[in-house]
Amino acid sequence: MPNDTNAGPPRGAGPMGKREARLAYTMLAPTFLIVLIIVITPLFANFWISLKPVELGDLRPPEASVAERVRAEAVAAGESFDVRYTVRNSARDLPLRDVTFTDEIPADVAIDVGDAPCTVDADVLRCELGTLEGGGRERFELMATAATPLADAETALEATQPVATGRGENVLTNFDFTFENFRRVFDAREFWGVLWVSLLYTVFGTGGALILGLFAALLLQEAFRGRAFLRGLFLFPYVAPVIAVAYTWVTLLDPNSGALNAILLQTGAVEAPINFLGQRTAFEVGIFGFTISFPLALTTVIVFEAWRYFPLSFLFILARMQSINTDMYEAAELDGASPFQQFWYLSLPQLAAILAILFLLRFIWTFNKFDDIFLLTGGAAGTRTLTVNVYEQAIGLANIGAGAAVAVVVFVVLLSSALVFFRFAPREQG
Amino acid sequence: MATARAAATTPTFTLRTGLVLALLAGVCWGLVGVLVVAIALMLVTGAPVVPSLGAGVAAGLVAALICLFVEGGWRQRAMAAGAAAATLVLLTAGQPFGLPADVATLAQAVSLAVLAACLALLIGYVMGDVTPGAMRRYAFEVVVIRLLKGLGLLAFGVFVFLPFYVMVMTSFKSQAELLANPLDFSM
Repeated sequence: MPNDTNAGPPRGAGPMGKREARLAYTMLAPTFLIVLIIVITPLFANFWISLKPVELGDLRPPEASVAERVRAEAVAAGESFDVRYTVRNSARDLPLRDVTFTDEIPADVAIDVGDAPCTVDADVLRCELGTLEGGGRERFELMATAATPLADAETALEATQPVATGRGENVLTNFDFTFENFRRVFDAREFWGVLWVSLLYTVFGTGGALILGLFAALLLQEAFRGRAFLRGLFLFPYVAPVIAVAYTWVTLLDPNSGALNAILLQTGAVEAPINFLGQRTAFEVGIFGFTISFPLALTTVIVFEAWRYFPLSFLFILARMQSINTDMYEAAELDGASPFQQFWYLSLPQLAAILAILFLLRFIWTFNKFDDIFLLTGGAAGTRTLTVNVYEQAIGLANIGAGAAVAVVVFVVLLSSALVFFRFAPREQG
Repeated sequence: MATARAAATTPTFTLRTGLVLALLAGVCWGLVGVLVVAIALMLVTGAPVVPSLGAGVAAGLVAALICLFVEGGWRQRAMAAGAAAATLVLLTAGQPFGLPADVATLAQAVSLAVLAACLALLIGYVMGDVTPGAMRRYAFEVVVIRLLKGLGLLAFGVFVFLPFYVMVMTSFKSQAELLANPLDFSM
């Protein structure tokens, strides 16, 4: 082909197109930037905190506070009395620098500062302490002498509030980093168990919700009387407030006053009530020297998870089913395909993409789920997942840094599973 | 396709027969039916009901066999219901719900009638006009799907409606009332 620039359609954008594209990007930039900041900032903050030795108590920034105490009432002229100031650093660990406090002194009272680092200038007492260690306090006892008789020395001196100032650094904004949080998280004996429980909970909860949703969609696909009512009813677990349904399940499953145990006992299915939410394992089976025990409480919270979230998959799958072309089924009928063959070779491949998307969404949401397990078991009886562990570390053990470190682990697991998913997920044809 | 045609035409042994479907439908609905009705009776009356699962299975089988061998229509359903009720009563020595006859007599009678009628109607619906012999794969799977749909709707209905009902019920009761009798589902 001759190298003729006029042959064929133009390649790429022309100068005007490029200019307009630049303009468009410039105008979109603030939006991109804002969205990026909204997404990145909390994530960055989490990573930042996970590298800091910060506990719940450290969140109170170091501040100087001062209290004044006078123990004297009626004072004659020339009589002396004690004035006591106590300066405190409100932070537990962090030092406070350049601490000073000032207080106004009544004109008819003279203060003898003695050897305290204080000065009195124009009825203003000013004391400079220098550095005050974390949790430290310093006390000043000054001698005051009344020039004229005072009816109530305490009120006269305490009428003016002393003011303390100091420079402290915030533990969250200084550059003091540590790997202690991660070391503690990974060294903890229960960490791998917690990770394993999280994965079991997520995989089985997600799978259960998907399979239940698929069955529900198959049941309600064809028209029959009462279908609209059932479709509405099937949405109940998903739309009901979690605190209400969790309490309902706790009520139903209670070993002493729960209806399910009462029914099981009554019908003779069990001999003693089963503590579905409080018993770690049930019926142990020994195979080849290994003891396999059934995790009872974990299974119960997984069933709850599947029950609570099957309506979402049900809705998605039903919508996809209704949009499958009926021509295909007619052709299959003519070819003599049986109902199960039609489901297996036509419906399922058509549903594969939506099932994959649902799996990803539910996997992420279930892995991040905190409230369900926390309301049902509080993380006890072998149901502690990583998210419950975040709460446990950050609030229960008051170690914000360790909680953030667990949250980083959650993030890494989710990110890697999403990457694996995008690599291998089935895609919609065409 | 090839196997389906072979099953329909050759006299070789096959599990794809109307009789297998009748046994399947009878066992499933008999078991589920007696369990659901007994627990409903327990929750409504508060009586110490004990469901007799074996008798339920037998009643379901009897109803299914009648649906299989008797021509369809109201006569078939009535016969199936009557036979199911009789089986339940006979096999449990007059106590189909493990209760003496003088406890909640009316509720027991109603439960028995409802159970027998449901068994007859549901199994009759599932079986349709199936004949005992070998079946084509397509027709066989249609019946299996009818059976699964009925069981599935019941299971999902209970699974979703029961917590909903309990949620509403607990909102009308005090803690003491809830603790007093866990089987009291009245509002």
